[in-house]
Amino acid sequence: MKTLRELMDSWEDGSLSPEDRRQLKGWLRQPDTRAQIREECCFYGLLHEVLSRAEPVLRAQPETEPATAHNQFPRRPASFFGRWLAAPFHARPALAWSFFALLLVAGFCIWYFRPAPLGYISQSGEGVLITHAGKNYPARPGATLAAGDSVVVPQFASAAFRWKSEASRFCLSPETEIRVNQTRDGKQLNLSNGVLKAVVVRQAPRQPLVVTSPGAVAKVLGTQFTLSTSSKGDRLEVVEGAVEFADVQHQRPSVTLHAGDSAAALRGLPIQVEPIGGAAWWQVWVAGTSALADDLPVGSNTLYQDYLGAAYTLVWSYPFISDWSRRYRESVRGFITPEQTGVYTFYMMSQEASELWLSRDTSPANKLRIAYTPARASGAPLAETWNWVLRPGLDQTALRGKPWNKFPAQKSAPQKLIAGQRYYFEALHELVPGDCLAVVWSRPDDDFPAETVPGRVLSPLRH
Amino acid sequence: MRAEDPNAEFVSQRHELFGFIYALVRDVHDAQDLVQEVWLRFAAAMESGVRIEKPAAWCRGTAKKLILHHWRDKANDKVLVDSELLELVELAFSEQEQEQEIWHLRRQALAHCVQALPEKSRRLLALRYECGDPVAKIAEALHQSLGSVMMALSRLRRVLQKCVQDKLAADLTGNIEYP
Repeated sequence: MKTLRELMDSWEDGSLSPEDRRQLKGWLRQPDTRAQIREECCFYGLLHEVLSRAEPVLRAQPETEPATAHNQFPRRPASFFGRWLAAPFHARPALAWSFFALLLVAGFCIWYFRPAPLGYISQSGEGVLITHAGKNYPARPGATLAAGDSVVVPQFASAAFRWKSEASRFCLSPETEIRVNQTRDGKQLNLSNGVLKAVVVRQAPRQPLVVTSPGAVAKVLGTQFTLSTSSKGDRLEVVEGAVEFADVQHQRPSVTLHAGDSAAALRGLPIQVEPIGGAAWWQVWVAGTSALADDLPVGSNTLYQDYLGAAYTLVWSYPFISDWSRRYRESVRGFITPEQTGVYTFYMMSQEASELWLSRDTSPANKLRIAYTPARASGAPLAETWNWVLRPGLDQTALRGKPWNKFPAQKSAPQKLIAGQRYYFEALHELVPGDCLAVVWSRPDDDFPAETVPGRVLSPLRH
Repeated sequence: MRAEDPNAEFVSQRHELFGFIYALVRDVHDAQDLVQEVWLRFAAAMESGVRIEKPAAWCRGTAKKLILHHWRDKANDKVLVDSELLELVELAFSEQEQEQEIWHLRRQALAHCVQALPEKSRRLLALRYECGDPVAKIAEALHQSLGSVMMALSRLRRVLQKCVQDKLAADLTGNIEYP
């Protein structure tokens, strides 16, 4: 229990606890103490008034420093910065505001003069790195690319990046390294290793996208192309538009490649332009509502299209797809020209539903479904015991012991094919993350799955 | 006694109003602002022809509302007053309205007592009750502990109250003349 005096002191100091408040109310309910409390309250009013009137010296305003009662007390000598730092912000609002204004200006300057990003990573697999100022950083989706940065894609991964403020996109195969830059002359990409697939929107006049590789230079003004580089040389395939291709290593005249053309700058050989061969036509699109065989890609829903060097699609891990909440389908179309006459058996390999159609000639109208992988039950997960994609000829140690021909329908009936004759085929697939398709065939007059249908017997059909 | 001019009555009783408000907000600057606001409302009411029988009671009623708003606006601060305490303090002020002459004598006595204090004590009082500085700020400015400043202020209040009582008692017996 506090005395009334102690209670009034606590009240004055602002340290009135709830218990004190209850006690104070008790005092206030008693008439004699109530009068005493009133006297005490009025005392502060009088004191304020008396001090305000009787001490004009305390309210005078000297020229140099605001006059407060603080000035009348001896102070510890301190430097300006010492006082500035020691003074609490709430006590010196002008200083606080100055400090925050300074921070604001500094922040604006940092923001304004920061290195502007050229692009950003839109898709990346495990282990993909961005090399910035000599240091490596994980290339997570959304990570920005500044001038001079390199993207390094390891084995078994792929990546994609987009240029800022435009729809150009670039997909990088496994084991690829590329450096990005931009000058007044346009965008620059330096491919030191691997494969770059690019879809480039129309560039500003006299500012082409220039892609350099160890032996070649490609100037692009809006097109889709693939540039790959290896120890043998550099190879360019143009899917859309036109690309000027130059062999810089041997100072040979440049050539212009149009859609469907390919060229190689091989060591010691002149550039040869020829139609893209040894490939099938690959398209990925947003799935429609019709059955797989009836759904066709049209311009508006086509997500990606390109040439494939063999009849399987796992090469890229679909780095151009970022929104997997939607359903996608893919097709591989073209002609098979067998090198040997014989009876072949085809296998349609995929996890999700897929279909393989083969025509008895070059006409798509005569195609028949010869093999398919059935669809899993709606909503069922792709379990380990489900079907897996076997691609003979490649290292698939991880798939050892896993089922790859779970369904009899995956294996076609024997197909009699004549050497040198072209047969139209198409493989269709419901895309899901982690899945792909592969068309596998046997050797002539055998039914064992020997190899993925190779690029050397394929030729593309474009729609 | 009630002055014929309500404005004059307000001015003569403003220390009482200040004491009432200060008791409930415990901040000199906030109390001054609220007194000013009450004064503005009082003047506006007078101009609009409102008949105010008891200006002191009217002003306390207005001040009560403003004090409640004041604490609502400072919802994050430590709450010193609740509505029940407010009512009780208002009751204390309403039932004991003192004559202006007594107030005049008390003011004179207090001024005399303050003047009699050492300069250091007067400045300490001025920091707290004129400048309205928080005790923590005063302690920091004087390089003293919070407790010692609170103790010094408490002691000064007691000294002044006793001084005023003594002087009033002496005044009533005619032994003291104020300068």
